[in-house]
Amino acid sequence: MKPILEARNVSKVYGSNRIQVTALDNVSLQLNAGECVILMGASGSGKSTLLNILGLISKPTKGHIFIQGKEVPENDRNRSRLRNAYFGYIHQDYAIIENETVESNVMIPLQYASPLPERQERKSRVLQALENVGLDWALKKQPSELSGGERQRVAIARALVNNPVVILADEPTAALDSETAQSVMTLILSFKEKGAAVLVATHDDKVAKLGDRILRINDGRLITSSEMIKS
Amino acid sequence: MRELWAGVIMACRRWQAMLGISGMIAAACVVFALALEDVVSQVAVLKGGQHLREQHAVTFTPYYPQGEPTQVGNDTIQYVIDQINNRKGYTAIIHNMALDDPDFAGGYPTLILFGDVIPDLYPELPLCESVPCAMKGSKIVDEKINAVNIEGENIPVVGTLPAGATFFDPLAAGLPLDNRIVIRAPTKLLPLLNSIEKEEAITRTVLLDPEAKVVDTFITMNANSELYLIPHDIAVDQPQRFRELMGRSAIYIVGMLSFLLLVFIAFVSSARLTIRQEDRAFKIRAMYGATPFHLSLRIGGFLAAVVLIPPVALLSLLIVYLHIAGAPSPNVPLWVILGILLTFFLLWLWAIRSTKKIGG
Repeated sequence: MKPILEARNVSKVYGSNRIQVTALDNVSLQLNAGECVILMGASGSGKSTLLNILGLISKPTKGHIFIQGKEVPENDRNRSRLRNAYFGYIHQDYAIIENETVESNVMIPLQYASPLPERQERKSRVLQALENVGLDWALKKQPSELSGGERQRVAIARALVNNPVVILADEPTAALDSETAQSVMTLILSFKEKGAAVLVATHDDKVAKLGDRILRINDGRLITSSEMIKS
Repeated sequence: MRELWAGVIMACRRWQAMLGISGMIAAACVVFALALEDVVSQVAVLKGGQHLREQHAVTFTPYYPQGEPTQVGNDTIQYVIDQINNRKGYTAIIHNMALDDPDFAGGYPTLILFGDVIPDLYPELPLCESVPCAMKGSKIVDEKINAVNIEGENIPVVGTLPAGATFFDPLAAGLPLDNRIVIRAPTKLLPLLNSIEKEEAITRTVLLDPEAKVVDTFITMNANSELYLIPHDIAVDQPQRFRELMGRSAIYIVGMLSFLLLVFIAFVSSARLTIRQEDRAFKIRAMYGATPFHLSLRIGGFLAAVVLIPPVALLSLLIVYLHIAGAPSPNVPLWVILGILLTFFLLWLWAIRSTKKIGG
């Protein structure tokens, strides 16, 4: 099967010549359509750095990223276009703009889509995305009026509104109680059913059990890769 | 366009802080523009006296020991006429012409000039040529004023002065002419004037490169009529005034510039803080596909709403007001607008650079 997203020999080094920190060291991995991969590791192990590089949010110091077999270009404009067209992001802190309404937050990916959907279509897609996460009633609400679980569902609605093929979730349930975490993971896994590749960074074993395979990262290196049969 | 507008809305969300700071900038810019306008017009007027300085003109200030009206003798008037007719001087009446006739010159203020040498002294002032003649200020639209009558002499109004025309009055400074009727009168009318008019004509006499004997004679003749005149050599006096004015202006301008600089520093800090507060929103947008161009437009809209639009709108109104009020240099606020534009672009560049790393 052709991978949707692939990293080849990716390294990331922060700092100047005098003080350098290697956040990622020669990491290679593939994400396939319709699978959920769990990325586990301790804090500071390089999970977020890897997600940022895979999601084209930051550039690797060395190595290459491929989307559907094509290498990602260096050009900022093209990277922006690819982020918009291919990715949905879910973060531990929800990454919601606090002083904009739920509707406005969910609409962000559509505002930069190419071609730009008509205003009416944008609105109906936002409403549809919010209905999918059970938050259609919150369309005009401010994020401050919502609970943590509801905010995370807003972030999920935003991630799915542009029909991405890769979902990158960085500790999506870390700030949630177990019941809410379960419902959020169910929503995230629904992307997989639609054919998207899902990569979830976590150190929660309960969440890890929901994945198809687990990658472990330590000090910037992938140390184990094992197939996991869902129980 | 959508991103620009979104930037404006972003500024509106922080309207309390931004209104305060942009209001302060606007007020400081308006005060600065007014100060600058005043200085520029004063300097322009003083520069207008250049020909008088070159001619070593002597002017006079009156001193009235009795505090009573004086009776200028006919011999004194004739002496002034001789000087004027020999192109050795000129005189003017600004305030006291036809005080007993409210309909004189249609009720408009006048400037009566006596002397053929005047056009040579003020080449930048496009006066009518064949005396007697008169011209209307640019703001006088009364079509009925075709002529002005002085003591039976009908003086035709032959044209209109350009807007912003100013006469250099050696005893004061700039005399705006937009709302005045400027009359070039023949010297033969001087003896026919009443005593108040004659007195002003005498005190405003300007002698060009006179010998000491001429000045002494003129002062003595007037002293006999109990009009005591103190002579001033413009070549000495005006540079002194010019230096004083420039000194005062420098303090004025430096003070205002310092204040403006402080306001701008406060504004820049505030704007940078606000942009930093919006940094997370920029990152989220960049994550979902906003290009650096999108973000720079959004920041541009924000900065335009705060630093550009309020002060420029106020300064534009000020320009209109200065034009209506007939100020000598009504376009000076344009310089301040240019400064604001420069600040806007510098801030914008800084903000673009600081958000460039997002999504890199």
